[in-house]
Parts: sequence; C-alpha cells; structure tokens
Amino acid sequence: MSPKTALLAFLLLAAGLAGAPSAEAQPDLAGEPGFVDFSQQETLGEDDLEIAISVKDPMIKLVAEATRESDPVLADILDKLKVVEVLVYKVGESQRAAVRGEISEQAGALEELGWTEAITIRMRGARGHVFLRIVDDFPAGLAAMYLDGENEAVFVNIVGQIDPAQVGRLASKFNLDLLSQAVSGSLGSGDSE
Amino acid sequence: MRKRREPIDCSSAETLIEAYLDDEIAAGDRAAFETHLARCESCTGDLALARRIQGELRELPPLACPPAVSRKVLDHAAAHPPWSQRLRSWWSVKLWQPAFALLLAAALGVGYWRLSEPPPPPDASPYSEAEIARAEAELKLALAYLGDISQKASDSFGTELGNRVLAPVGRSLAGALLPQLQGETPKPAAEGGSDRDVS
Repeated sequence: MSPKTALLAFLLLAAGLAGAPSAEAQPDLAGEPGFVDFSQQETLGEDDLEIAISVKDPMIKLVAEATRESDPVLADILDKLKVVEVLVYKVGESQRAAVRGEISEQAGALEELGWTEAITIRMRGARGHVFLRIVDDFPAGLAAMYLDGENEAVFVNIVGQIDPAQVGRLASKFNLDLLSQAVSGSLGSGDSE
Repeated sequence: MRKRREPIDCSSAETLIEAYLDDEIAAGDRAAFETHLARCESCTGDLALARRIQGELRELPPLACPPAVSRKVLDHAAAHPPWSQRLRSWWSVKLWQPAFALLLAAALGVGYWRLSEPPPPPDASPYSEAEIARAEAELKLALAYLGDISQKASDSFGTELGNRVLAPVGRSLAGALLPQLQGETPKPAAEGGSDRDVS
C-alpha cells in the first residue's frame, strides 16, 4: 500500500469515525432484569385504565438535570433510573376477586424469577406486594402491586439502581392527590420518553 | 495451442482460410489445411478467391477522416478524460497536500470531539420545557404512588401488630388481672378477638 493510499484510507476511517452516531442510551426493556410488563393484565383492560405513566431513560435524565438545583435528592434518585412506569386501574366490585388472584399469581411469578419480596400488605380486603430485584448485590428494579380495599389497583415498576429507603423518604414528601390532579389527563397522551 | 493431425473436411477448411491468409494459423492446422487443399479443388478455389479479394481491398486508397470530425473527437477526449486519469492528475498536483492536511485535521478534530463529547445539556434536548415539566410531575406521581403503597404497608403492619399481638396480650392481661382486682378467680382469656382484622 502506497503512502498516499494509506493516508486516504486513514482519512476515510477518520471521517467515518467522525460521522458515526454516538451511542444513545435507549433502554432495552426486555433485557433489563428489573423490568416487569404490567400492561398485560388478564382481568383489567384499557377501559379500566385511569392513569398510565411511562417515563424512560433520556427523559428521566433530563428531568434529573432540570431538578438538580431545586431538588437534588430527587435528581440523585432519577440519575440512576432507566424506566418508571405506573398503571392505575379502576376495579369494579365484580372484578375484585379476579384481580386479587391475578396479583397473587404475578407475585408468585416474580418470586420464581428471582425477585425478593420486600413488603406484603394484607389489610381490610387490600392486597399488596413490593418486590425488589437484586443483581450483584444492587437493586436493579422494583415492582409494586397494590389492590386497595375500594376500587383501585396500582402497578409500579421502576428499573434502575434504587435505594428503597431514599425513595421512601422522598416519596413521603409528595402529595398523591395533588400530583394526581396535576397529571390528570395523562392517560392517552403518550409516553414521556 | 491445439494441434490438428487428423484430416479435415471442407467445412472445417473453410473456417481456416482467413487465418491461413493472415499467416495466423496454428502449425497443426496449417498441415491439415494444406493436406486438404491438395486433394480438394473446391477449397483451393475458395482460397484463391479469398486471396484475390484481400489483395484488391489492400490496393484501395485509404479513406481519410474529415478534419472537422477528427478535431471534434480529439477536443471532446481532451475535455472529458476518464475519471481515473482525472484522479491521477489531481493526486499528482501539489495542491492536494494542504487540502488533505486540512481535511484530515478537521476529521480527526470532529472525531475526537464526538468521542469526548459530554452528555448533551438539557437545553440541547429535543423535548420542550413543558414536556420535561410534565415528565417531572409524572415521575413525582409515580414516586408518590410508591410512597402511598409503603404507607399502606406501614399501616398494615401497625394494624396487624395491634390486632394480632397487642390486643390479645391486653385482653389476656385484663382477663388475668381484673378478677384478682375484683377478688374473683381468673379465667383464661379467649384467643384473638372479634375485631381481629385478618384478611
């Protein structure tokens, strides 16, 4: 190879390197050990859905940056997260038993997949489970299912490195009712990715 | 090269006439062709005819290309050399060196910049401020739901503790102490309670 040809090849290589797209951090949900697909419920369907939240990695990082000054604790938590999904269903009286059974089945399935049950709630007809997925001694995901004693079922999945204590402390600051009102109408508006 | 030793027929001989006249025939074919000619008048006649036509064609005066046509063809060829020749001529000119150096430096600079590029700041995101604010509210709501579930768990624990442990213990103590205080024989306390909340 002549020096000119070598230089030309090097130039093309450098140009290719310069033009190559940088790796975008798009989470591959199926490959995430902390991911749980709660969207495929047997008893509950689209018609029962009241709130659907799905915020994924690029947007989570942007929110973390946006809140770093005003709420550094929230920013620190969000920095380590890849996906946050919440599904809230309204549950009719006729659906309660089936939903309760389905939640128990899902809890069993998560245990079989290696998730660790952190919290179990059994109170006045309410059923709830909070699972953690530990990978290499670090939490890689959190999955929560809760059927209240009235007419609501909540499914939460958080993928990423979670410090449950830190999340719990922060979550206690947020007013669920006020935030629900603020996000009302999110159903059907698409995911915040 | 193929060597032909066996005798040939007229049709094969016919295909060899032109090569024979141009002296481009293979040695083996020549021998076979000449052997065939020696005993074939028809092919000998064909050869003589071909030789005469060739000689007459060579005696014709050469035709010159009109000068205007020649000039146009040459001008066009000069104006549109093949791309390989153009590339070679450009490559041989010394002007390519500074251009190459500039291009190389630019490519390397851009490559280095892309590799060392820090994460894009929020301002450079394709999302609007409103979208980010909405996502922030959604994330807080998600965490609030999680906090709510944790609170329910805490309440559940408190209720279970109260109903399953504290209440029976209290009733046992009351059952044991009250009769003594009232001067009666103590009766064993009933296990659990009617208000026990077990689901």
